[in-house]
Amino acid sequence: MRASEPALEVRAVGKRYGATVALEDVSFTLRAGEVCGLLGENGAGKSTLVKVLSGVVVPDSGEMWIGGTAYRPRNITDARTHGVATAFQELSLVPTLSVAVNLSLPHPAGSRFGLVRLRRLEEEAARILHTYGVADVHPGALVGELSLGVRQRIEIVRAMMRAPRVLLLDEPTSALSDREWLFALISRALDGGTSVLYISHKLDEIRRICHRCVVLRNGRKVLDSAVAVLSDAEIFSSMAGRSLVEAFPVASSTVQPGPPALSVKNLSAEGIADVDFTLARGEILGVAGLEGQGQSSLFRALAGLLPLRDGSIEVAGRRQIFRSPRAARRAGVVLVPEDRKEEGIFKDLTALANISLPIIGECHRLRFINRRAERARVEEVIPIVELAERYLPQNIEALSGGNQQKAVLARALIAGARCLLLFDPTRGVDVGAKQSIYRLIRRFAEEGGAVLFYSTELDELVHLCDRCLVIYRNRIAGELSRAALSQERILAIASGHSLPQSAQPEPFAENSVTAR
Amino acid sequence: MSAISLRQRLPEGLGIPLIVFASTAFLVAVIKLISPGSVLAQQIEAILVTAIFLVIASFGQGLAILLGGIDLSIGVVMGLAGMMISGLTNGADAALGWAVPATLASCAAIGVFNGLGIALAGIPPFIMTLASGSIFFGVGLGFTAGAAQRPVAPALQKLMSGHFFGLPLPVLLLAAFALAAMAFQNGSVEGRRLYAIGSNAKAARIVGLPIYPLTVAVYGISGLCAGIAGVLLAGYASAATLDMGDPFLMPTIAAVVIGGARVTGGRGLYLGTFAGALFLSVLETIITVLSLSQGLRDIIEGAIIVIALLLQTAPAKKRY
Repeated sequence: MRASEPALEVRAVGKRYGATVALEDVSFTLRAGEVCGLLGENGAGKSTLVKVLSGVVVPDSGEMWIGGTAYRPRNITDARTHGVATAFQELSLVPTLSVAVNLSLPHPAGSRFGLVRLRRLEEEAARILHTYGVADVHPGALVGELSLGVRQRIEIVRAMMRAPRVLLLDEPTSALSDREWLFALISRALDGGTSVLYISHKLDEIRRICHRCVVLRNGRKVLDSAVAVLSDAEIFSSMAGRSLVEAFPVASSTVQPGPPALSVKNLSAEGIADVDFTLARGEILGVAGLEGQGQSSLFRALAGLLPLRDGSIEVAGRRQIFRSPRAARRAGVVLVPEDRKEEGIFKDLTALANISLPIIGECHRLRFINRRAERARVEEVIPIVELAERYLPQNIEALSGGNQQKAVLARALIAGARCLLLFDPTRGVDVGAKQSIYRLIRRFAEEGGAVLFYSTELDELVHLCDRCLVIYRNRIAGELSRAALSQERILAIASGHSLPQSAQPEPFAENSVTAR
Repeated sequence: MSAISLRQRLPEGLGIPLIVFASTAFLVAVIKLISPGSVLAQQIEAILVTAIFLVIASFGQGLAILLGGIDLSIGVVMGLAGMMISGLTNGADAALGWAVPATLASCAAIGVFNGLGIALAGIPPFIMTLASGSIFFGVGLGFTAGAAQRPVAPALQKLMSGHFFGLPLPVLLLAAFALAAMAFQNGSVEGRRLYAIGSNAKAARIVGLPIYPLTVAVYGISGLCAGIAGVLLAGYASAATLDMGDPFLMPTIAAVVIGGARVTGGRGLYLGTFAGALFLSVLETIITVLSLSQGLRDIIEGAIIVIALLLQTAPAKKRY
């Protein structure tokens, strides 16, 4: 029968970006007519795998087969001609074109002279939208003017409308309010002979529609099993993994009494709503969340990069309005940004100049840089971040990711930070530098500094934080005290499970029946 | 092997300016070959005197390019400055005391106008400066007939032809300007901040650098430099026309690019721009000595920019 023949076979696929291994030796089979879930934490390799399958990225090693023939897509269009269609998480629609034109891309049906007949396109699009149950969208509307949820539906329709053999859905419900719509479409696609690879980190969705699931962690496949025989706890722990024995500095909490260093009330901005928390001096407050839940907006709003819609920020008891990062810095709030290369380092400057920028205006004689004073100021902070002095005269681009990050942290310290906003500071950083960064965070807190610390590595949050906020769908969905902190609990809240208030060792109450 | 060890020993970015200086020296030797009758010292002196306009104007261009922008209004501002100084002085030295500051302030104001449009309104620099150049050229045309009917103040003419301890005044001026420009761009606090902004504007914002004021200042300085160059050019030529600055626009860009600056900003030394300006001036002299057509000059200048950019991007592509 057909069912025995795999729709898609992936054999030993590997992909590296420089020194970072995104995928290593990943093999799995997508059987004909099934929905297979693909799970993993942020950075586990899910997105890279989707890109490899959809032809966006060419793998370094391994091979793929579709229906018995080798499959080597050169680009998305090529993948589509092989019957592989993708609804991307970051959406691949052109915002300045209409819904109808977007649906017809990449090959709008032209007339004899290569011109596109708009009216026919729109009639066609209206028919398609009707078939797929998207009634409330005019085909002539510009995609950029539609809400994110509607755009996601159109992205999904576009992937489905050509009846692909293999359908890749990458976090298809991240902006959807009506999931039932999607589930109905998926079951219809299955009837039509399509096989679906369903990427998500929402366990309830996986349970609802997937027969089987594959779990990736650190670029490797760690689990491949029927969903029904797995408990939630098993899936969560295979996603989070038992991290290798990594030493975290053992230290007692240094939370200081008195007015909080940072107090946020009812804060709303683009991508974040109704956030309340306080951060005491000497406290390390963790922030956890799956990708794109609003954590980035929260940090940007606190650093003065994103205007507030509502709410207030108080620093050491004084109400502040940060119109720019400059204003935030004056109040002692300094951001260490998410994307080191794009927002952190100045690639044309030396490490020394990168670090000294915030205080360069204080090291001068008649506005000419006093290099000795500059060097002295920098040498005060580099021992704290454990950056070796010999790197200072080097161009920062020549430094390793870890040393670059140390320089960025040194710059935050030299700027006189009393409240550090650290957004995933250990991303793309070697083990040794991670240890340095952990020590720096602890030391900063011990000396009375306040730290807001987002990390995609849950074990860091568990081991370093005094408390941890968990963000889900642009709001704070839960808060875990130090005693209650565990990776499983963070993941449970972060993927939309509400946690019972008592920190019992049975965190998955609502799914406990299926788990047994 | 020796090239590599040499590059390692040199401070960052100094290699290209030295190569350009060497090429300039080579071209000077070529002049001696093609016109054996000329006296070398006199030739060099003449080249340096005519180089001053480009050396000054390309400093402003270099700062704009350092920020990742460009100033296409330089030619127009130079012409306006020349027209203004001759119109205001009307051939008399008496008015110079206020006419020079008034002219330079107007030129700086045009630059500030550019900077405001770029920094606050977010208009792409090439469009903003091209458009403002067109606007102010029109204004200039409205006030004059395109060529000054009045002579330039004699003191300015003397400045451009005078000597001091046997050295031509313009050459001393040139040296002083180059030293000051180098000190500003590569030694001052503001210069360092400009490199940072040009290198990564997003990161500069997060660090809290004063991006807007510095952008406005840079275009203001560029307008001011074009103004100084225009006033000196009027003194040198003893007359001014509204379009006399136009032939200098392309060379200002070429000088910066030849000097090793990255067109997208963040990299390049003023020493390189200086070397590039001298190189182009010598090239200009050769074209004149050989009595080649001006069309050839244009072709060479355009080609030099393209070649310099190709040399810049080639290694970058290999890396990725």
